[in-house]
Formats: sequence, structure tokens, C-alpha cells
Amino acid sequence: MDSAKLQPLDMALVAAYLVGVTVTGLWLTRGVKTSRDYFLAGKTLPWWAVGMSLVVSDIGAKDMVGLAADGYRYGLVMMNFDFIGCAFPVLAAAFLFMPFLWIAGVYTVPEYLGRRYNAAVRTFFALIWALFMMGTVGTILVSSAVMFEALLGWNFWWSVGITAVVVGLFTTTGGLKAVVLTDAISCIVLILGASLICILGLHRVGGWEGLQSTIGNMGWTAHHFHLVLPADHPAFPWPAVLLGLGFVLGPAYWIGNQAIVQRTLGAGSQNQARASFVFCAVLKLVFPVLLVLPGLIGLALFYGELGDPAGWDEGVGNRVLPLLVVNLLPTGVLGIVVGAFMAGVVANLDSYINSASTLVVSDLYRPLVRGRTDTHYLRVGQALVVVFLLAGVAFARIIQPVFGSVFEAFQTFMTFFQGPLLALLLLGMLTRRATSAGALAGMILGVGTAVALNSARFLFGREQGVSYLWVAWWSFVAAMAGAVAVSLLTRPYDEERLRGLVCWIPTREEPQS
Amino acid sequence: MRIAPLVFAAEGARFAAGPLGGKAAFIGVFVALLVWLLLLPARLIDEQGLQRPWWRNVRFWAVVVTLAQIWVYFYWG
Repeated sequence: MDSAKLQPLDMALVAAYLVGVTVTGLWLTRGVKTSRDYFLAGKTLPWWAVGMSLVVSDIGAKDMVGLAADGYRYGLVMMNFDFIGCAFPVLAAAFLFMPFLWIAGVYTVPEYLGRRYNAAVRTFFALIWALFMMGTVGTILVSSAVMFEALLGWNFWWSVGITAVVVGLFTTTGGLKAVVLTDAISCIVLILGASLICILGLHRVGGWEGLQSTIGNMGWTAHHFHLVLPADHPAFPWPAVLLGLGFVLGPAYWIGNQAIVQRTLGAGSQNQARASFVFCAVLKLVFPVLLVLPGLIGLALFYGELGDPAGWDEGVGNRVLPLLVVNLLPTGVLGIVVGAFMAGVVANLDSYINSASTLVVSDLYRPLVRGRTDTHYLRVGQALVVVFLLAGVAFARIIQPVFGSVFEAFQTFMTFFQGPLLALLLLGMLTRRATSAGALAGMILGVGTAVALNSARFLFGREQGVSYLWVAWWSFVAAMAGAVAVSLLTRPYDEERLRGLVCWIPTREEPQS
Repeated sequence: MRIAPLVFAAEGARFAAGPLGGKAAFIGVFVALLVWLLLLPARLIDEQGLQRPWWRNVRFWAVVVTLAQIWVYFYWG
């Protein structure tokens, strides 16, 4: 339907990217001798590479396909995911939260929660993260398969298989260093490819004014050029965007997501980690435009073919980006954009698989199987990369027919536990009074609230259900209320137990001023 | 006289529920972030508490990002 014929020049560019990334990744495996080298890159990563890796760990194929579809459907409001949902929490993470994880010397976020509360909280969140990451890997594989099918004519399982093999090759052996440095290459290719789509697309529709007038004349697009929508908007009312996305989903993702935190823990110093977060925030100023604008261009150019999104069947939205790529891009440029898409897939996938492996080894395997050599844990981590890839492939099959929008699927996964996780992290880092009993109560209440609200959505249909932004907010509020109430009823920890884990109680080495 | 506060509150609620209230709320979050960034102690900006040139100063770049966000929500909000 929308398939493009890649010319030899396009194929050469795509092959150059794939070979370049794989060779770089394999070359970087030389330095991996210990589990610290593998999971935290020996704490040697430069800030610029970590910053770029943070961006492409967040933005991948799912965002390119999903945000183009939602940009067509809803307009500029989708940029909030990278504005209020990113800039605000990233800067808060850089200056307030990252130092605690750094000083605590942990490998993972659940490890911090385990030290602050107890092993049950650590195990619970480690298990949930493992499941979430498997789902995310599946989501990424589905979105990449959709795009490859449209662009190259590959069938679903062929696309999934090829992607898994390419990513598995260097992620298995190279660890975090290979992942982060190849991510930096992918970030540059991604910016280049997405910029080309926007520039050529805007040129085709007559510039920004042409885009505004074409879409403005459609009648149903009154809010397409606004970031803030009315409070009674059915999908993105501004209070839900501000509270659910800006105050819960965004902070939980940037402060508590293992794939994000692990990169900054691998930086050369605390200053480098802080600089990487700020560099990520600078780069994220342009990414919303690069990802949402194609949806608006697609609306202006292909409304006759794709029609009103209110009447879309499953998967129609996922055709917006392929249509643009196939119809807009000349030879050579097409190769760069397909390469950019592959960059998004590879960078996103390797980040999640590497982090999932770190998490399972650090929080689930090591506490159960103690006293083994470091090499043993390194080998288990490498084997888990393969296991997670295979599990992601299986999960891709399950989620493919269930969700209308790939991006929405990703957000729905997050709402089950992002609110409770954020509540526990905030209470743990910022207050002395939070206890393990309070944490358990908050966790159960928060996840229970998210499950109940999400169930309503599946039972009564998408239109009748609660927006996932509200699910995130109310699960956060429930977890916070449960944790505070039960903590106040239980005996507080003494100061020594909390040293170095709570904002107001510094480690012994630090001056008390 | 007693009705005035109620009218004021109702108008306030109507404004807050509309897009203009939303725009003000989003900009307000970033203004608060800006103030917080400007007031942060040097120890939280740099591990050694050193004063770096502006192009290597993370506080400077964080403020640039925040100002850009305020402009974005002001213009597109």
C-alpha cells in the first residue's frame, strides 16, 4: 500500500548506519571485564553521550509512529509529552533527585527503594519493572514492524526477527557503554532524518502559514494549534495534562525509570551526570516539533486518503508517517530517514533490554543467588539480554491486536505503577517519616487504584473509561495518602538508618552546614 | 456586598477551567521552576561548588530551557 522502493543509494545509507552501529557496539565490548563495566560502563561515560542516550532512550520508533498519528488526530497538544512532561521533571531530577541515587551508590531504582524501605518493596518494583520492560520491548518491536512493513514490504515477524538480532548482537556483549555510545550516533541520525521530513513536508504544504490555513479550514480541528486544551476536552483536558503528565508520569519516568537512571549512574562524575540531564533537556526543546509536526503535515496532505480519525479502524493512524516518508522523500533522503527510524528502534530497544537485564540481576537474581563470582553475574546479565529479547517478541504478538495506538499502549503500561513509584520515591527521598509499612500500604493502594481505573476502561470501552492521565494522578494520590497514613501509625526509623538516603540527612563525609 | 466574593469566585473558577486559566497554570509551573533554579545553592549546581564560565554552567543552560518553555506556552498555549 504505502511501500517505498529503496534505491541503491538509500540501501547503502541504511546499510552504512546498521554496519556502523553494530561494529562500534562490538568494538566497545573489549573493555567489559566486570559486572560494573557491563551494567554501569565502569562509570566512565561522558555527559554528551549520556545526554543523547537519554533522549533516544525516551524517543524511539514508538514515538515516531505514535506521535505522528496522534499529531494528526489531536495536534500540538501532543507536544506536552516532551515539554511539561520532560523539561520540568528532567531539571528537577538533575538538581534534586539524581544526587541521592549517586551518593547511595546503587545500580537500580528498586535497590534504592530496598535500602530506604525494605526488600519487599524492592522485589515488588523490580518484578513490575521487569514486566513493564518486557511490554515496552514488545511495544517497540510492534511499532518497528509496522514501519518496516510499510516502508520495505517486510512481513511482521521478519521485521521483528531482524530487529531483535541486530540489537542483540552488541547489547549482549557490550553492556551499557556500547548502548550509550551507539545511542549517541543514533541520536544524530534521528535528528537529521526527522528534520528532513519536517523541512520537506512544510515546503510541500506552503510553509507554516499554509499548514495553519489548510488545517484551520477543516472544521473539526479547532484545537490543533494549541498546547493547552479546555478543561472539558475529552482526551487531553489541561488539568489532567498538568497533574497526570506534568506532576506524575513525567517525573516518575525521568526520576524513577531504570532505563533513564542507569545512564546517569554510568557517567564519570556527579557533575557529568547533572550536565547530561541538562543537555537532554536542551535537545528535548526540538524533539516535540520534530515528532508532532509530521502528524500535522500528514493531516494537511493526506486527509483525503486517511479521513477523519473519529472513524479510523485499528492501525490506520500508524500509516501517517509511512505515507509521508513514501510520498515526500527523494532518493538518498529516504535512506537517511529509514536509517533514522532504525536508529530510533535500535537505541530504544537496546536501552530497555540492557536496563531490564541490570534490574533482574541486581534486584532479583543477586539477592537470591549470593556468593558467586562477579563473572557469574556478568554472564547471567548477558544471557538475560537474550531472554528479554525473546520475551519481547512473544509480547509483541499479544499486544499487536489489542491497542489502537502504539503510543497509548506505552502510556497505559506506565500508569499501572508510575504514580505509586513516584509517591514512594518522593516520600523516601524528601521525608524522614516514611516507613516500610507505609510504603507497602501506599504501593498496594496506588497500584490497586490504577488497576481499578484501567479496568473500567476495558470493561466500559475507551470512550467511557477514565483517561490514563487521570489514572496516573489518582493512583499517585492514593499511594501518597496510604503511605503517609500508615507511616504515621508506625514507628519511625532512627537517623542512622536513613543516613545518605534522605535529603535532609547527609552522609558522614559531607559537611553538616 | 456578600454576593461579590461569590461572583468573584465563580468568575475565577470559570477562568481557571478555560484555556486561559490552563495557560496561566502551565506558565506558572515554569516560572516557579525558574525561581527555584535561580535560588539553588551552589553545592547543588556543582559538586565542588565552583563557579564555571556561562557556557559550562549547568544553571545557565537550565534557565535557558525554562525560559524557552515559558515562551512556548505563552505563544502556543
